[in-house]
Amino acid sequence: MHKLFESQLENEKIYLVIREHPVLPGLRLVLVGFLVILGIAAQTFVPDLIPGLSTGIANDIFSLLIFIYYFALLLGGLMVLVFYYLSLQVITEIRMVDVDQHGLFGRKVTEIQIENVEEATSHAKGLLATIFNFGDVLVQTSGSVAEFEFNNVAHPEQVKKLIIDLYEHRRNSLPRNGPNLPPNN
Amino acid sequence: MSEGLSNNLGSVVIVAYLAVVALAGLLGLITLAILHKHAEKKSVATGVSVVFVILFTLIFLASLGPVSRL
Repeated sequence: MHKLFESQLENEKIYLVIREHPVLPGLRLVLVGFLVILGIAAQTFVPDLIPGLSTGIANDIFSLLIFIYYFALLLGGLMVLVFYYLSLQVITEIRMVDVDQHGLFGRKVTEIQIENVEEATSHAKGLLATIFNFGDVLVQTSGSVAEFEFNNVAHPEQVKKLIIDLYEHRRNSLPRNGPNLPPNN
Repeated sequence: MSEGLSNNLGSVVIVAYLAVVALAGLLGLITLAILHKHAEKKSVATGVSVVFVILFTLIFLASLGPVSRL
């Protein structure tokens, strides 16, 4: 099976793989669809409104410009889908991993260990977030990464609860006085 | 002379249009390659690729009408 992130261990138990709530890329795709309809309307009605564009080479050049516009929208739609699919957050038994796809060639992977969690808060803000039950989960940590944010994830309350439960479980399973090292001779 | 100028303009427009289409195709292929490289499920990447290639081809075929008239 394909690893979700580079440093994933063979037997590492994955509890949750989350992405942005699908309603947000869905809205972006609806916008792309609306722009396609706008292009079709322009292709149909603009040549009739502007006399010079209705016939001849001007009409053909105008049509080609509209087709270039369609290609741009197709690429835009593809990128919406790809960035949505490749940006994800993973919660495993030992860590949280944030994989961010920034543009075509930028990919940032941030990891924090579960035992470094200090505080987790969740909040949903806005009409859409309230209707579709998505929001942000902010995790404060004691490690080198001070904050870790899950943006626009579905069921933020449950994500926060899972993080806190995993933290409790991890803390109880770790030895309290550090690892048992062999005595120095 | 006017016809010659029109033909010349038509050729320039066709070359410019094909260059833009090639650039769009290249960008699309790069995006799909990145998707295939990092996707956890290859079936999703394959599905997106197939839909993209079909739509790209359809738009290009539809644009051949105005191109042939230039």
